[in-house]
Amino acid sequence: MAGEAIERILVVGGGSAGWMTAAALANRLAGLPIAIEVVESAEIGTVGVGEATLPHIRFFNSALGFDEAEFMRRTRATFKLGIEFRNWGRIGDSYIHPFGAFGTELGGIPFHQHWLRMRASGATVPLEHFSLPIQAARRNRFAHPADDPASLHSTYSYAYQFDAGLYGRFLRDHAEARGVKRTEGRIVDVALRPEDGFVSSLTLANGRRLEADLFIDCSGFRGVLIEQALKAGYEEWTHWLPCDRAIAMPCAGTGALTPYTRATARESGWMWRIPLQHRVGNGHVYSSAFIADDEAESALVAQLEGAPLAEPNRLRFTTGKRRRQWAKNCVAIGLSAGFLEPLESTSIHLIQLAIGHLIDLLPDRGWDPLDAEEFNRVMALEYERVRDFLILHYCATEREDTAFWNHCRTMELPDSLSYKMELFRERGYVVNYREGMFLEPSWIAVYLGQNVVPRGFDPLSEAVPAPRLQAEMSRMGEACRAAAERMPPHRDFLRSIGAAEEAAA
Amino acid sequence: MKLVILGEGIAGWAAAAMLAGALPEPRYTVSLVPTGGPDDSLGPFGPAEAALPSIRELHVRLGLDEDGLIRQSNAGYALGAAFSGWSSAEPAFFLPFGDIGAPLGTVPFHQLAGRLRAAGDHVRFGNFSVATIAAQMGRFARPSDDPSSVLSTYSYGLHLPLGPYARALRDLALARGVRIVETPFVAAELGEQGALAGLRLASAESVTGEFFIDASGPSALLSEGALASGFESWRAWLPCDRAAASGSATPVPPAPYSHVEAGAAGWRRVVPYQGGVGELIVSCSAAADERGTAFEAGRRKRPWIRNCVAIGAAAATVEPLQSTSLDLLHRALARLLRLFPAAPDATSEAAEYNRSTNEELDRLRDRLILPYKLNGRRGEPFWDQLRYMAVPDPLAHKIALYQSRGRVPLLDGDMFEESEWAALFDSFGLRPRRYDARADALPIDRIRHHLASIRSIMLEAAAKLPSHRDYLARSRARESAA
Repeated sequence: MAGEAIERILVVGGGSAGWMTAAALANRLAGLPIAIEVVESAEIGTVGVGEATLPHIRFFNSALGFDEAEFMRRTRATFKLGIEFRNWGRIGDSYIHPFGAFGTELGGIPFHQHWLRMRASGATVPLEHFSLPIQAARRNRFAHPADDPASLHSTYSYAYQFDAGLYGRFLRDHAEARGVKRTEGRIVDVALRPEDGFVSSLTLANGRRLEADLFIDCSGFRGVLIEQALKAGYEEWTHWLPCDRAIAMPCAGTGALTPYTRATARESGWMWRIPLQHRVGNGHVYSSAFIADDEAESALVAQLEGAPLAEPNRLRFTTGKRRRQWAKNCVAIGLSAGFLEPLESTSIHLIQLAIGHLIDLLPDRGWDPLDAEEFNRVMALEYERVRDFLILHYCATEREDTAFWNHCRTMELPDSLSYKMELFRERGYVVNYREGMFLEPSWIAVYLGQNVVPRGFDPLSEAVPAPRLQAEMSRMGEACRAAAERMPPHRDFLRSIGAAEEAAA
Repeated sequence: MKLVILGEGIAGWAAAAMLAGALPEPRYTVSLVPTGGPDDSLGPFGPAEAALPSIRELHVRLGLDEDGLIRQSNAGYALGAAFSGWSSAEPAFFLPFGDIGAPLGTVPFHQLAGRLRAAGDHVRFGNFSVATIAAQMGRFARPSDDPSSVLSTYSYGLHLPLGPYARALRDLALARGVRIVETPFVAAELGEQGALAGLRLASAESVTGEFFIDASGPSALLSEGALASGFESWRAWLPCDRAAASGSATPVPPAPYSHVEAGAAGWRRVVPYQGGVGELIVSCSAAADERGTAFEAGRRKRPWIRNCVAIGAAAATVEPLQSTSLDLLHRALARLLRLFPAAPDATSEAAEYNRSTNEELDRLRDRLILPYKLNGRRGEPFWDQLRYMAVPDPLAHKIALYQSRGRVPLLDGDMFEESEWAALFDSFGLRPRRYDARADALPIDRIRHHLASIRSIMLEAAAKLPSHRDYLARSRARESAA
């Protein structure tokens, strides 16, 4: 080995990022003489945004050995088949970005190309008729997907909507049971080694000093280590994603227990609705340049479906990412690494990716700069590709009703995104890369859901004779509808697998 | 739309068969115009190619029956490639098609090897691959479909004599209604907008078309000759510029692998097939007075320009050191079909085609440079100089991170996976300074036992496979029975 193995890892901050990191490290590094400690302060609240997740969370949970029903009971979780977007392309529009494919390919040609072809010849069947997860979501039904690749039930995946605070608590129990030490305290000072600027120790308000080899900064927006101490720098993306405030406020659930999250576009931003077993999470994400805080709050409160369960929690953020998410002996994970609004539920997934890359690139005390360089390269790519996907939601709009939407509709786009959009406009082609969490079906859902309709389609789709195509399409649509009808209601399914917390049911 | 393909070689016929199979009739017609010379559509790299396992997907797409090909083209099966004379660490090594070793938990095999080597154990990657072991024994069978069987951990390619293979592709294309023009090409005819309008023939007649495929080999008669796409040379890193191909008959049953041997001024490859072997000598004219056809390593700047797409060696001249000629052709055709334009003027499609093609070719260039850069032939001027050359940044980053900790950063366009890079690095004696810390969490005896058990299961399974000769005989019999 080139350097001595690291012996101590200190995780600073105990929100979702901190406890996910601690639990995963304790699990994946089990058997190694590495002590893991989390320092958190009850005085500092956690943001707790990011209650809706992506399907990858299931791999994270199963690697930790979590039992699904127990995890769901403890975090009051519900199932999630996708996100409904309302009023984005035009006021009155609604589409669902599902966790699954649209139709199946025919003659080696992607299904959406056949759909575009039929549409060009006058057919009006909505694309969502060919998505089982959307059909189930629209009916508030849910069942686990099947493993058998021949089954229609294998064409979708799912994620969860949960209480992030309870998830943190659940992870904490798991981590502490595996030897992670928790220290309560507020950090008042960070000491750097004079010779190389590495973090050497932290001092808590009670005077205690904490030392470690590797520091993980999960301290949230502030970036206590990565920014305040190490000045890693921040790349702002507010010119493309102008929202900079959010107000979160839970309320009692009175509507349907939807197996999906809802994101409703508003005059100067958007609102989320995340249904959990015991409450509904609500929030208003907006741009302070276009709407005042009080006005944004009244708008949020006015549309609550049930009694408020907490005071509104106001948050400020700057969309962008840390220039170096790993600097010296400090790795930023979570909001300290960057902020992308929760429009596509990416916060927890970005945490998960960072943890995975950190474990793959776990340093030793030789501190080869290549580890940080590679970590920063792959994480920058992930953030940028999520960023482009988020911008698409704002720029692909016909809304002219407010100054905010006029700005979004006409802003200059990153080259990487305008390039992708032009190829889709031309012929419905989706650009694919090796890295990037959103794949073809996700882009198709948003493009078509927001009326980015291609001028043409893949000419090869015409190799399938029109009568055969019509028959196949009506068979597929009918199969999705029938399969969705056969699924149990979401709430019943939760109960049937023992995932429902009785008091909440 | 009228499609015209220039070049009657493998690239042209494969394009013809693929396009005629995929394009809806009668809106599209496909014609092929010959150039009249020998087949250099994949470069001057005959007379046989050792195709990577991906060739089988191409054959499925084309509807080309493999047993039929074994019989009619005298093809052989391939389990990988043997290399000798390249590395000072391993005088001979084998790059197999398929897995090397198996991970333990989440720790990759090459990281487990790192831990054992740090403890002083000797670990040779070649001992832990079914393809390598079977190749050494001269045995072959198609892999098992059962994922629990060790016989599902390898893959196979094909050794294809190019002449008979081109004929098989031609038969397929003609059966699909491709029109063959008998008179050879003389010159391109441009339309008013500067795009291709037709090909003038030796008979002074013209074949007009709306969309063109340039499969005319390194001279790129349409893309370069008529449309001046531009060429990006790789000579600074890949100095070989002569290729001499020859074939000979032999009664010796073919080995299920090719052999690439480094020499004083380049390398020599032997590809065995049924009844013969193909020999190719690739060399650098500045380092030795070798005979052969001249070529220059590099790629077209814009493989899709105007209404013309270059494929095969018209798009890029890539020495077959990694056996990628047919794989690249397959990738080009699949990409063209994904982006096939509704109208001849298709700038968005061309931009995406060129972006992804160039990215892929540049990463393949990096892979080709590696054996030259890491060569162990000290004291030979040609090779000494290559060892000190500066390599492109993405390759430098791959080498540095592998040397540091045995990881290989994969970029967009990379067509080889991490394990394939690790196998190549390891064969050249590159030993990471660190191994994955997670390997330390495992008791060392458990890792040793894991390796020993892989080895014995593989040896036992490989020993039960039929000989390559017997398996070939069975494939031929299957075809004639069918």
